[in-house]
Amino acid sequence: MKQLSGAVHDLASELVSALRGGDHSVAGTTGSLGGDEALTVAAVRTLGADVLLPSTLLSRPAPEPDVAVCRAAVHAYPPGPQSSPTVAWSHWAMERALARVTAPPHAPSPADALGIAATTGPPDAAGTTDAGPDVTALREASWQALTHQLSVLAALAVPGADSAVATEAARRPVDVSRGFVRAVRRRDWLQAAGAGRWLAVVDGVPPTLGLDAGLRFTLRMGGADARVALHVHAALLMRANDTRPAAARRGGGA
Amino acid sequence: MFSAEPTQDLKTLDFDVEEALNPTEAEGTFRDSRECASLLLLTGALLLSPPTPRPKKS
Amino acid sequence: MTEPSDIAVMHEVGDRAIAWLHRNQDGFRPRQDDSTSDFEVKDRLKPIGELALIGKVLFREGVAGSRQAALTRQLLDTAWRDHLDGGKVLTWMQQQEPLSPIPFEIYVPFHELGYEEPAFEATLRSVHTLESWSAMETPPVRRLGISAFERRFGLPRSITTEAATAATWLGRRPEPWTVEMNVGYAVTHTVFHLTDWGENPGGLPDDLAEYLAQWLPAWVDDWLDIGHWDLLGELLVVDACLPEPALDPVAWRAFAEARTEDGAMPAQRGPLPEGRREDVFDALYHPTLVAAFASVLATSRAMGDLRAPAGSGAA
Repeated sequence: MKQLSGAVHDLASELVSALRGGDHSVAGTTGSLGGDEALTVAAVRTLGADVLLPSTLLSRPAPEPDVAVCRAAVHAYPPGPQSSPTVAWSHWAMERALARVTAPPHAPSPADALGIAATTGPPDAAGTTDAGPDVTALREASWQALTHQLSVLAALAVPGADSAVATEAARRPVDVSRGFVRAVRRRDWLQAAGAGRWLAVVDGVPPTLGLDAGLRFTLRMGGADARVALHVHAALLMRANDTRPAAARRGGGA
Repeated sequence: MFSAEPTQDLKTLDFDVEEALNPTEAEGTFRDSRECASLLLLTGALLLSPPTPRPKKS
Repeated sequence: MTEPSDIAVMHEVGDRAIAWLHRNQDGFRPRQDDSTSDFEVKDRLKPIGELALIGKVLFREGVAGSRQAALTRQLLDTAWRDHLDGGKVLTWMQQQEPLSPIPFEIYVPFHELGYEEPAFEATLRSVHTLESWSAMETPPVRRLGISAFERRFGLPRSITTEAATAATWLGRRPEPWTVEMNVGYAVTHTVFHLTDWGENPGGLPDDLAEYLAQWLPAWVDDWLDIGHWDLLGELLVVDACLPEPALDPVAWRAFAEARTEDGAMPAQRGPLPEGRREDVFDALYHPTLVAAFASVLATSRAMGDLRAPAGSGAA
């Protein structure tokens, strides 16, 4: 497990560097890892869709090597019959991200395509429809459990997120905000960073939360963990790119 | 290059990955320790604040 | 809507807490024996003040004619007549430290319950006119509290409620993820003073009520997890003062389960206090008073909601 976490950390560091305007070379972030192919694929599967995050957030083409290793990870680690919805969602997000970066420029977006399909596919054994795996557990979760699960699936918190997971997050911004407070108090910086990232893409976050300050605080206290830094930098970037007036972000209801 | 077919090598880390993708929540580490707590009760952060300082009686 | 079984849990906490306080009321005596120093006597007036403030709420919010109400009245009676020697102990402290607001803070709830000590009041009114009374340096929450007691007693205010509130932590609505134990107690006491210890929930300004409704669940979760029953109890009081209390059944069940066998509430999770009776009392009286306080207010709110569901317009 230590080997995997080390590789995940290294990969996350590269991604942070790319997000912050580092050299987004042709070799991509995964190319710089070197070494054990199996370990790299496992690390890529663990970070999931975030391996393609720089291209998503910075509107740049994804380096071919990164796309290739993402494909390999998707194939090497499909969700099994025993896999939790969380694992299924992580896999789903990778497939979505791959579809997004490899779609031809003027084709309907994968989101549109999936939107059409969402109401037609029957669920498979794991509850996965074309709209994604099951979200019942999320919908029925307490604000504490909801926040934790969302933070594990923070890779799905991207601009224009339209997954059923994102819909659940968008329905309960106050609950996730409470979860952020709780995570910071527990010094669970990874959960705080993941929750904070979700709060960066949903409306209706109470202004008194102090989200920006909270994100920076989380980065300062927990940023030695590159995964924390990755989520926080993603969140800060998405907030900076959100040019809507504050009133729009306050949102309605929930 | 990475092949599309899962090889034996790529699957050896199966268990690790599944676990990494679905972590349980960590125990909370709060800054309010027992030490802080007893200090507070002693210095009287109770319903009425402590009296203003006065000279020690001999 | 709170389940009847949950209301029963809340109610029982208060019932047994008041019974414990009544059985152990001798612990409130300021002068325990000949060796008690004057300093300690003054220090031991604080618990009596807390008993009076909360006892008044228990008496008012509890069911009239119930055993709870009778025990509470006896507690308060004994405190005034016996422990405070009919108020003379307050006058004594006032002579010792004329500018200390403490005797005043203790006197106000007793006065509202119908007890009085004219000599004490005369000196109080005189001292209150001094510039020094309002100039005394004191933490913002305390200043808010003194101002609230001035209002309740009918004295000119040393500061407005708005100005006093604006100087408190809660008044500024800072980042909720920075709350730790000291801040937690500052928040609870700010709410106590703004609502006259739960008597007037409307005293809580709308923006603060909204802030608390949003973040209190996270703080309740924290101190529940930590097992600090004293602060958790105070937070549950705050909840009961909100326009729409959460009355969280999970928190209340854990709180109820934390009690000792004889109905006291320990201050925090861990080994129960032991040793001399006075030392055990000192360790337990405060969280037990708080538990009674939280229980009576929460039960009252829950019952009120049963009789008149939110939005029905009924009183």
